[in-house]
Amino acid sequence: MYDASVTSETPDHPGSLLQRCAGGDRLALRRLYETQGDRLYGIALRITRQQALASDAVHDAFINVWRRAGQFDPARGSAEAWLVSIVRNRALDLARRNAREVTGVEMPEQEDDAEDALSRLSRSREAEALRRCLGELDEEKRKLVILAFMDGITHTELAARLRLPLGTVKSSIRRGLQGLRRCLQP
Amino acid sequence: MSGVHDDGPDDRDMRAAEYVLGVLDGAERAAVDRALLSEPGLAAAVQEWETLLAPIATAIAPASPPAGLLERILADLPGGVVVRPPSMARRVWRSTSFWRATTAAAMAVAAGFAALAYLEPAAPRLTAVLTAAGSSGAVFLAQVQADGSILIRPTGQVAVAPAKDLELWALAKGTTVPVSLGVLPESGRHVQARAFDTPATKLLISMEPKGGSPTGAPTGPVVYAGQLAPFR
Repeated sequence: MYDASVTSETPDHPGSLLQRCAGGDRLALRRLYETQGDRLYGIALRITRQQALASDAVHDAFINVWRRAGQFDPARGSAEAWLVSIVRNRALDLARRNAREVTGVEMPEQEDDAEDALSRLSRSREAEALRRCLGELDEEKRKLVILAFMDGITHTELAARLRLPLGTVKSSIRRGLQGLRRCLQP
Repeated sequence: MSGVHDDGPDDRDMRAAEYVLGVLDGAERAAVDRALLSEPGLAAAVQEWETLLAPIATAIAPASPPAGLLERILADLPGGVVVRPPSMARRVWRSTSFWRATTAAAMAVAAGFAALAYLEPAAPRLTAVLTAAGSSGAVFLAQVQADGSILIRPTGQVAVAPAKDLELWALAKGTTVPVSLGVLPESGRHVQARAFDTPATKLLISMEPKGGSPTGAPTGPVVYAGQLAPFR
């Protein structure tokens, strides 16, 4: 199931580290944290906006990665994308669960960097197609999709942040996603 | 949400995309989580969107996690914790403070704690006895472990209706909104605790739909409750 030749470009490649994790190698998980931890924590922090929650999200995600490393299938996507999904899922769960509480000091309002984000997307082959397709959307849809993904905020929060009617936000995001789907369709 | 939107592959694809994007609120998200268990097509669409959208994350600035997080992760890896079968170990019998804290009327409780104390005999631990409202009979015993997880066990048989689950919550002093610590596994023992204000925390157990509260807050009656307090 796991073709090492696809992913083991270097010993620190997340794909090879995941393969070692699947075999029960704790050093590999440690290395995965050392090489990917900052990136994944940044993603979790952006969504949860609280250090304690972001830490919990990364903690739970790594435990999950350890448990599920054997299920990672490089044919379905990169190891990086898989890790991002696991951390985002946990961060989104924690953020929603804590939505109605004040459990810590809120971080300052995120700066509006959605437009700029397009230029900061990785130059990898996977990112290239997405960047091209995002570039084909009109500015409002592109901004909504990027902001939503980075901040993991609800339709309602997006509408408040951008001072747009909720219905507009919902339909713009749907149309943006449909545009991406058409553009990225294999 | 499912049920309302089950009308074709395109709509399913959009539901998956919105789920991955993160624009659904708690209840909508929980509805998709439930639908994922029974709709393989939806799960496949979610996986596809996760792969397609993941590169957006490369635009997010990395940040340094707090010191000690790696150690916490490594300590909590499955296989690293040895849970011994409950038994009345001799070292527990020798512990006088254990007995001072125990009254004859609470023998059932004592037997329960003995099993807990054997796991971590030396360290004082925050412990709670959870009882039903208006009753003093211990139904669950909970103890905070060194790694922040909570070990919880019933003192006897606890019947739960087939379509229901019991969910554990922490209510910190001075707050009114409990934080979910997870659904109690049927035969389970360990529940992973979130960051919460331990010393003054009350533990609650509510009756929820199978899989736990769909809203992130208790939706069913709180059936058992108890205060966490240091236990030596």
